[in-house]
Amino acid sequence: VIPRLLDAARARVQMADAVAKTDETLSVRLRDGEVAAAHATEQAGHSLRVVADGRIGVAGTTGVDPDVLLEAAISSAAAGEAAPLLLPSPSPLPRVHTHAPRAGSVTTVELIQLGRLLTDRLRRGDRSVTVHLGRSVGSVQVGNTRGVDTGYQVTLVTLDIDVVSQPGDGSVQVVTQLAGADLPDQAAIEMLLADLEQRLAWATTSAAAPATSAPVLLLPEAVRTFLEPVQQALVGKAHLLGTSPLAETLGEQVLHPSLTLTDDPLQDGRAGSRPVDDDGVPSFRSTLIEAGVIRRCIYDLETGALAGRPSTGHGRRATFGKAQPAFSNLVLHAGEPDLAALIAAMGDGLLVDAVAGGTGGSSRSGTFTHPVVLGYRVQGGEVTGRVEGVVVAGNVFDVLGSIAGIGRDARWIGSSFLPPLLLEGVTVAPR
Amino acid sequence: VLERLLDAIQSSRADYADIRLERSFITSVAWRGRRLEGASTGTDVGGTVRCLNAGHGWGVASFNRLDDLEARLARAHELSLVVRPAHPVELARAPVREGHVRPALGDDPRDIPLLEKRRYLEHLNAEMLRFDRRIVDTQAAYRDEVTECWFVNSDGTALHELRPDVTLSALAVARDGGVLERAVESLGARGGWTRVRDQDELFRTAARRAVSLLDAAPVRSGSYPVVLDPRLAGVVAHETVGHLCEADTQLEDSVAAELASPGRHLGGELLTIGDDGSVVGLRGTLPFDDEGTPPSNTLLVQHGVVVGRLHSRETAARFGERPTGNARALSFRHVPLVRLTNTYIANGNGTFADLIRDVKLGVYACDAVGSRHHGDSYSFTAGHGYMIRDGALAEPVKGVVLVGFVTEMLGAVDRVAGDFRWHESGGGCGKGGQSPLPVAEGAPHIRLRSAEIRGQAP
Repeated sequence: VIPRLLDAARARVQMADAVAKTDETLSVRLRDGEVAAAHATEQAGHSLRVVADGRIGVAGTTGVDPDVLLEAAISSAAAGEAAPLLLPSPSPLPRVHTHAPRAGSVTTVELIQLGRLLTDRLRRGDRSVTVHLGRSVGSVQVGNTRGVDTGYQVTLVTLDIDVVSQPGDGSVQVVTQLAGADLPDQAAIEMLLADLEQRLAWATTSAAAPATSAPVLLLPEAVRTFLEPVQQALVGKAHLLGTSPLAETLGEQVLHPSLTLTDDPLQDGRAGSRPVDDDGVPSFRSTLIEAGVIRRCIYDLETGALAGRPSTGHGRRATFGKAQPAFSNLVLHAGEPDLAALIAAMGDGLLVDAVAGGTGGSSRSGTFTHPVVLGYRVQGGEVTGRVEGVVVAGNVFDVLGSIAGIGRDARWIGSSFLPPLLLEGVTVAPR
Repeated sequence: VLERLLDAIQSSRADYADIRLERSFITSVAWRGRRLEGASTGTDVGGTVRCLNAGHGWGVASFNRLDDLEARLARAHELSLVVRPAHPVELARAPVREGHVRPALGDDPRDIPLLEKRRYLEHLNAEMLRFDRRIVDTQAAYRDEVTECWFVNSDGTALHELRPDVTLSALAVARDGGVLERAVESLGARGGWTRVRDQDELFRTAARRAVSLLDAAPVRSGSYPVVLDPRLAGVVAHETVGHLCEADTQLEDSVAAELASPGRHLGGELLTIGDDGSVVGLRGTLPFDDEGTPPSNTLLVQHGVVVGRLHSRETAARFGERPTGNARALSFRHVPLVRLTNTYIANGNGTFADLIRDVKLGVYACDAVGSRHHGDSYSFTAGHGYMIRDGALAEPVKGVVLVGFVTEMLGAVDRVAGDFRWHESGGGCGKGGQSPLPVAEGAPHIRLRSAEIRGQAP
């Protein structure tokens, strides 16, 4: 479809590019080992961007007749804005593993078997176990009027486990997840289960909250929430608009020297892996923060054109609307100490498993107030029980300036690879 | 189309099956600062098939290509047979319905050129930019979506409906030295282009508020008598009682089941809260929900006591109650969940002046820009606010966050004014990954005897 669309576009507009995405997903949810729901989804969408009379227009459709797209995109261009868009020319793509044939052919029965196996390992008298499994197989095709005509196949297997236990003095919910191009291997499953059991064990008894100024150790899931304002500040669009708190700090050391963050689309088999972005720009690894120094923001073609900067290969296009800059896989570099050493090092403090995100502060300024959904007290270098009814508050850019430790036990959460982070300067307060 | 769907559904071997198809025409225009973010159009086409068999649960197939509905039905039927929930799904009985609903859209957004929409938004955005030199960033956004929906089920129900939705939103950011403040306003309507015309004042209001917040002092944390404006009161009703009374939420969440069990006190004597998807012309109103049930006015809390729940056909059967017409899906990509429509606090007596007359020191909290909850504790971030001093409105304050436990917050309601009004924002409700679903909220001013305000100032 894309070559035909682009041929038609060549006759009418100065330049054009198009993306076609397909996806076929199968998902099941098991509640205490019984299948509670099963859902099959097939999706296909086309998005066309044109430059006509120097103006950009876009249109999208999920319908079977993408030819209507050209007229719609031209009318969008008539109402659109001028931008010095320069489409990429064809070039070889890097190799990256995004597709596992056996994951694409997993059946409903196999998903259910895996779900039952996980449930059986986790079930006890006082626990309720919900397992959500999904597998997708899809394709991305990208083309433009300069001759780019490329694409790749993707598979994605996702696993979400939610365990609710009733340890006698309340109810505790512990969650975990896994996502990747292939089915998780036995070692990955064993690690996931061991980690989940450890956290369930920590949550069994309750403990008092630590002092307001106690150190705070974040587990990977909580690190993800804390990183959100940093991510937003590194999107080129925020720099273009002057809304990024890091806009004036490129090349400067503003965060702790132990902090290095890369965006890596070339990691094999991860949820954000891809050889080319949706603008047709070949993917490459970008260092965003190097030893606390802000090195780079991410741009798609259009934002880059407006900012007078090259694309960093971060264009993402949905079926509807224009391309936006978006991260691929985010990798926060791990440190030396294992989790036990970090817990021992903090002495007395709060180990944070999960926080509520949302509107607890201003992402722009970096201030936050996160209710701790699941946290544990650390006393004498050991975990002594779960803590309820506290919030953690502070400013992300301040607390990431004074990191007391980064752990070695990093985990993939969705498309982010995150180690535990030991922080000082976070306020622990009653909710 | 309906005949084709009814033919297809005859082929299903499932005990129950339904098909929902949609075709949407979407346009959106967004300005950011002095730049056009984009003006784009799209067509979204697809459907979902659900099948149910006795002793099993839902098998679901969704798709974009409409050409082989029989195969989709067969797939959903197969999936239903592998689903074996602890409580097999049953459906409350529902009469067979037929209907064609086509609201008169003399000003159909599909007939308005994209260029005209772009020019109008440019004008609204400029209203904010030129309002004050301290306005440093703006967003002005417009979106319309006109959806043609078809629904049939194996009982013989066949419905065809046109659902229009138009939204406008304004964001203004003001800066003075190192102080940065933002204000938002929005509007949503189940109607055509005229519903969003002549909205200059909405955009000026956002700009005016952002500028006025620059000089407002942060509110001091503490316990105060708090008066909520109708917008914030409506959002509180939606987020607390509304969500707690969704039957599917109660089945999943023991906290909700306990807090909103019938007969339980959830609010003061003056508090009556309901959900009414049948009010003519509101954003949460529908002729039929996404299972073909007409929405109704469902009382949830009456004089402070829980009296009702919101249902789909599935949850109604589970609770032995009647479907309320609250099974709604965001689009053809999703299955219907129990969702709110137009949630309200019933009108009381007296005026705003009556509510603040005997307040010596209190807070007037207006609009909601954020809310969240964990278990039975809630927080609501007001868009702006004022101190109340000696029975009169005093200086503006910012950073007003209302925090507390739901039973305390609602139990503290000691006055409900007689100035009820509906509010249709351009946002929407989120649940189970389906957001934003068009809803409306309505309330009069209400007063909390005492509530906890968490501000930035200690």
